[in-house]
Amino acid sequence: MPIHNLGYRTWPWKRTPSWFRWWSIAENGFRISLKLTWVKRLMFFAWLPILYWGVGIFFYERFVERPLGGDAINFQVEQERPRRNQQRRRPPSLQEMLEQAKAQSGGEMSDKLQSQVLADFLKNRFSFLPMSNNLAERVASGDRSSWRVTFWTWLLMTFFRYPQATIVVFILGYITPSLIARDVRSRAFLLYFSRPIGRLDYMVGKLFIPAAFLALVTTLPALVLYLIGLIFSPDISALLSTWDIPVRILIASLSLILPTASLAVMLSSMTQESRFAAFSWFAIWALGYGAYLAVIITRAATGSVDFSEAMNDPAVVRWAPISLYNCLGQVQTWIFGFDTFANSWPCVLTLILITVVSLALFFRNISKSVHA
Amino acid sequence: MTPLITLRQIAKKYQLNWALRGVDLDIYPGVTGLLGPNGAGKSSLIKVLLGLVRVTSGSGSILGERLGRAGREVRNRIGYVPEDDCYIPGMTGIEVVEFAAGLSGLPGIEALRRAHEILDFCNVRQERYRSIESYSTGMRQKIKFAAAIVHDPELLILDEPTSGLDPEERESLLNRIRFLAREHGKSVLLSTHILPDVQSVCDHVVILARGEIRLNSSFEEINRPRVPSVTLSLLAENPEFERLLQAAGLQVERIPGGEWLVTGPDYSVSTKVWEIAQASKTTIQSLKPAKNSLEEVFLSAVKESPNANS
Repeated sequence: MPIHNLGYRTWPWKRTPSWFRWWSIAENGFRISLKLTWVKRLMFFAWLPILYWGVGIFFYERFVERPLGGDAINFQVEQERPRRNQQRRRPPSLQEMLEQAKAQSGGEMSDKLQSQVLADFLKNRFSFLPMSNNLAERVASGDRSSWRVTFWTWLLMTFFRYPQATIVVFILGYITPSLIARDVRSRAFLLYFSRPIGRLDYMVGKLFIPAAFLALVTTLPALVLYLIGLIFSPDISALLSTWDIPVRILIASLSLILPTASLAVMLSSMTQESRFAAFSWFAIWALGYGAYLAVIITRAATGSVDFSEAMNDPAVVRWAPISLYNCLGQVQTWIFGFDTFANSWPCVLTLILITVVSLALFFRNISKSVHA
Repeated sequence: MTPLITLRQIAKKYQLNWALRGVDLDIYPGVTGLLGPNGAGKSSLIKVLLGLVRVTSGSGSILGERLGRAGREVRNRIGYVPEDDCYIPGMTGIEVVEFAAGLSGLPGIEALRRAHEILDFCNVRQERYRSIESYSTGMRQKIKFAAAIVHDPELLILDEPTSGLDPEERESLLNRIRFLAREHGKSVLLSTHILPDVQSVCDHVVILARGEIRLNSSFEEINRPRVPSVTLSLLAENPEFERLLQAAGLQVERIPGGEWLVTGPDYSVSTKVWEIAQASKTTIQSLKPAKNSLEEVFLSAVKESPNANS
């Protein structure tokens, strides 16, 4: 029994503007999705890679940027080296390579030479890291002042391309299939469209839900990584030299969020059964990735090159649009400045097409369901 | 009085089927019952009113706005209880009503406050915090009703609102409808199959069959028999009384409940009955003008040829 039942009273107050009604749909959908236990687990897993990439930034600032810029740490490294050398033979450290290069050049270390040494160091010691060749090339072609930007963008690009692109598939595959299918099945459409809600409000509201989750697992951790970099960097000049990185993060996030969220909600709007939408979603990613893998293997076999070389072969990259995963990766590589637009435009075009076609089909499916 | 809803020659065709054919209708403020057999076009008519479907031909207005235009504006002022069991899984009762309030433009915390207030009004207690999937059909009906009135609409369109309710809850809901109509001036369009519901709350009845309006009339007119007649009951049986009535040219029929239905050629039938009762020394216990039953009116309207009564 209510403590104080007021009965029915009129409600004459001002309402929110009609263009803002989509927010109710978005907020409510986000809240419902967040109640799901597996969504919380996925969100937790999605934030774990930030630790690994944070260590990467720390490593760069501690062992690459500082030894070349400050004597104190340089001294410690010098002190420790003889003892280590006595224990076992190991590949030369960056410091050793720099000293060697300095000696060979007669004591003069130009920016260009330092960059070349670092590029060689990366090729020798970090070839196992994804896209380390691209990093080494960028370092070799740039000067000393561009190292930080190059490293940070490379770290963020790999962050977007590998862990986050994978987790995005699972998060969207779990959240989105039921978003529209559930409304169609339970006839909840009438709950929306008998109110001052238009089809566009509904679309924007529903799209916002996966987009918000994606932003939480891509944009936000990437920006946090950038902040970690700023915290570890020695002075404010890091902010000035890396100002464009947040912009690249936002563009990369948009390039990831728009096509994937549009495609996922479109698939959900095609059926009343969310499992069919989920199956289609995972099938698109798996089949595309499988097809692209087949192209790489074929290239490696016919061109007598190893797998990693075949992956970066322009003839193979040209096939990236067949796989949504690789297509997104290629576009992000371009956004972070590790490839040219000339190599990436088919993928950009593919993502735009996916977005536009998905949204058009989504709109058509909603219209059909409302008028049914 | 200005009609709330005016429809002129409204037609709606779905592929090969005509859902509505030349519907001419004026609905005035008050409680109007919309009756019709399955497939009569009631849901199509409601969708047309809500602006959810475009009409094939015809024109009209609703709440002063042109039909098909300003759909949002109109829906801001309408509360709709759909027949379908539509709900969003994963939400509690209070969340559904709060969400409905938000969709209708009630801001943040006010939507929640208003949702609680309306659920109190609808007699939904602690169940409001349970997931809507766990609700009985009757409870879902209550939540749908609460969601329809949460934004204080001028016009309520209720599609089978009492289906699935137990008698007590049904009566409570009808009382709420009556209360909203009488105390708060809400207009109600009640689409239902349950004729006693219409009899109980409506001032006006529209009967739709095969996409056409078969009857559009007030209850006062419906109740008036086509031929003058009265129902009466006697204190004691008197065969002489019945013989004299028949001799006076009146038709006498015994109806359930021990009453007699007396039909005459003109409206002097009650005067004649009193005179014959006096002459035959018969005591009349009650005498009242006969009323048409809504069932009869409904059945005859549905069977009648198109446009006979519109």
